[in-house]
Amino acid sequence: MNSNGYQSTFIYPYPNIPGTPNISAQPGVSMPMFQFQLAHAYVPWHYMGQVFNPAEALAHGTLFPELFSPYRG
Amino acid sequence: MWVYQKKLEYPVRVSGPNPRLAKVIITQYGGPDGELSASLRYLNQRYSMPTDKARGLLTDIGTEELAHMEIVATIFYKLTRGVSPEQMQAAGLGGHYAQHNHALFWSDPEGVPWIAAYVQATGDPITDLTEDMNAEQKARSTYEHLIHLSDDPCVTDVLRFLRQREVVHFQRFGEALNDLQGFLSSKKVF
Ligand SMILES: [Fe+2]
Repeated sequence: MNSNGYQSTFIYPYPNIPGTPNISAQPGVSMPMFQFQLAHAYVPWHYMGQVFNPAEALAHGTLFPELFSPYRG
Repeated sequence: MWVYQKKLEYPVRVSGPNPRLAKVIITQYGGPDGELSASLRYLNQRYSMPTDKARGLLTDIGTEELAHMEIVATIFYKLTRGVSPEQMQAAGLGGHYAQHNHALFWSDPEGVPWIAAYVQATGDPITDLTEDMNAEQKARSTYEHLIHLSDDPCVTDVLRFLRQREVVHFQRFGEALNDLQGFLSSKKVF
């Protein structure tokens, strides 16, 4: 509740963040909760997963395949 | 303190002299959204961050941006090496040559020198991290503009690497913002 008496905080399970993998399907990984508030900015959490080998990482500009986002313009 | 490694984070090759391309790439050296702005912004803002993790992130990314400034400097140096004053003039670098010969200098492509007003430090970690995310997007956009202007595939390859780093930095600053805005769970898999 904020000072006006309205509910201002929404708690969503992490997988509800659009565009992120449903990590609750992974064994042994508990589901983190995330507190969203209006007028705040957030990014989806990045979780450690598969990684490129060092030579591939240098060529891609990142160690993480899911963060590789090449410019196609 | 820093430990210097005598190599670039990403190797720089150029196909040959190209002062016309050098003239626009200088913006990532000393333009508003260039690597000098980025490195100094982060290395300065870190003092007023409330957590060791946020301070460490700004140190790491600020350090990497210094390495990017060195990459951009190397591109400009290689693209103008051996280029005559007349060729510099024809490529729009006559003003640069008059003041700096073949030396590097922090300016945008129009010769406007770098100024500290390009960066901010408010002491409010949310405000500063939001500026940092914005800065990463501006740098990404600028690299995309430079990719369009580049007629040297070797240089374009380096520009693509630098652009991808901005994408990664945006993600990391966003996670720092998440952290400071109150992440409820302690179960993170980092
Ligand atoms: Fe960056």
